[in-house]
Amino acid sequence: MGPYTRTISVGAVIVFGLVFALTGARHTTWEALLPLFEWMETTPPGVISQSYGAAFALVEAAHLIAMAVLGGAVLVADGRLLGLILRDFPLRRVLDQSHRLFVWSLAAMILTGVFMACGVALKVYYLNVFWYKMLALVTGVLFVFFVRRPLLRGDVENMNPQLLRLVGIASLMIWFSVAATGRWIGFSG
Amino acid sequence: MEVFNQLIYDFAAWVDTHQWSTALHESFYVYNWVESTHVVALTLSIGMLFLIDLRMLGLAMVDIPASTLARRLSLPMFLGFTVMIITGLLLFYAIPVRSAQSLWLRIKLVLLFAAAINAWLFHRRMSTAGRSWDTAVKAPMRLQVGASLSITFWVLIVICGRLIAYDWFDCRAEPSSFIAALAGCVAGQEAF
Amino acid sequence: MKEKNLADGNKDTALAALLAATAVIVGFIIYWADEIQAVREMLELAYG
Repeated sequence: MGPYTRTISVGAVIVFGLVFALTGARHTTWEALLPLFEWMETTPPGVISQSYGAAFALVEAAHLIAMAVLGGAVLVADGRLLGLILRDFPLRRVLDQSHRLFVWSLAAMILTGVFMACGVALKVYYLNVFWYKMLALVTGVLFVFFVRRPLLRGDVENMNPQLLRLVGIASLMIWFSVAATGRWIGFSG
Repeated sequence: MEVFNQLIYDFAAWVDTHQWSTALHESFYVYNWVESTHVVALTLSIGMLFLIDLRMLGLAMVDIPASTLARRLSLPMFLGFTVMIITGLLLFYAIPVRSAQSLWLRIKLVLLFAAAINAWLFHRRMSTAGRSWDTAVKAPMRLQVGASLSITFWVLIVICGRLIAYDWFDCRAEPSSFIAALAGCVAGQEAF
Repeated sequence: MKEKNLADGNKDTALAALLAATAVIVGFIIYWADEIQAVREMLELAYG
C-alpha cells in the first residue's frame, strides 16, 4: 500500500464505519447477532449470573475496580500528554508505565464485562446504549493499539506537541464515553 | 444499640419529609446523574489511590519515585474523594431511610473509617521514612502493609457499595432479628 | 534508505493519529450533542 499504510487503513475504517452506520448493514448485522446473544445466556457465566445475584454483583464490583485502575492509567497518561500532571517526569517513562497498567486493567474489564453480558445478554441485545458502548469500546481498543501506541512508541520528546495534545484529548473522550454509556446501561431496562 | 438505631431512624425519617429529598429521589435524570458521577468519580479517587498503592508494592509506575508519585497524584485523588463525598451525601439525602438502614452502607461506612485511619497512619509513616527508598522498586515493609490494607479496604468498600442496591436484607423484607438489629430496623416503623 | 523509510513511517503514524483523533473528537461531539438534545426534549416532556 506504500508509505502511508496506517493512514489509509484509518481512513478505510472511518469510511467503513460511516457506511455501516448510515445504511441497513447495521440492522442486518444486529439481527444476525441474535443467536449469539441467545447462546450467551446458556453459558456457565450466563447461568451463574442469573442464578446468583451475588455472583453478578461481585463480578460487577471487580469490573468497577478494574475501571478505577484503567481510568487512573488513562488520566495519568493523557494528563501527562496534555502537560497537566507529572510534568517533570520524562514523557516516555510515564507513557510506558501507564500503558502496561492500562493493558492489564483492560483485560480484566473485558473478562468481567463478557461475564456480565452473558448474564443479561438478551436484555442488553435490545438496548441501544449497549451497542453505543460496544462501538466506543471497539473504537477505543483500535485507537490505542493501532494508532496511539505506535505513535507514542516513537520519538515523543521531539514530536509536534499539538498532535500529542489532540491524541490525549481524543483518548480521554473515548474512555469517558465508554464509562458513561456503560453506566447508562445500568439505568435502562 | 437500640437507642442508636432509633436515633438514626428518626433522623432519616425526618430527612425523608424534606421536599428536596423527594424531588431528588423522583427526578427524571438528576438522581441517575448523581449516581453516575459517584461511580465514574471512582476513577479519580481510588484510581489515583490504587496507582499510589501499586507503586508502593512495586507493581506499577516503578520508574517514578514513590513519594513523588504519591504527592503528585494527591490533588486529583482528593478532588475525586470530594466528589465522592458530595455525591454520596446526595444519594443518602434522596433515599434517607432505606440508606440509613442498609446493612451494606453501614459496613461500608465502617470500612471508610478504617481506610481513613489507615491512610492517616500511612501518610505519617511516609513523612518520617526519609527518602532513601524512594527510587527503589518497593517501599519499606510497613508502607507495603499500609498499601495492601488500603487496596483491601477499598475493594471491600466498592463491593459493599454495589450490594446496597440489593434488597436481601432490607427492613421491608423483615430479616432475622440479628440482621434487623445490625441494620437498625425499628419495630413498627412507617417510613422505609 | 532505511532512514527515509523510518521518516516516512513516522509521518504515516503521525498522519494516521491526526486523522483518527480528529474523527474521534468529531464523533464524540456529534454523539453527545445528540444525547444532550434528547435529554432536553425528555425533560421538556416531563416537566413542561
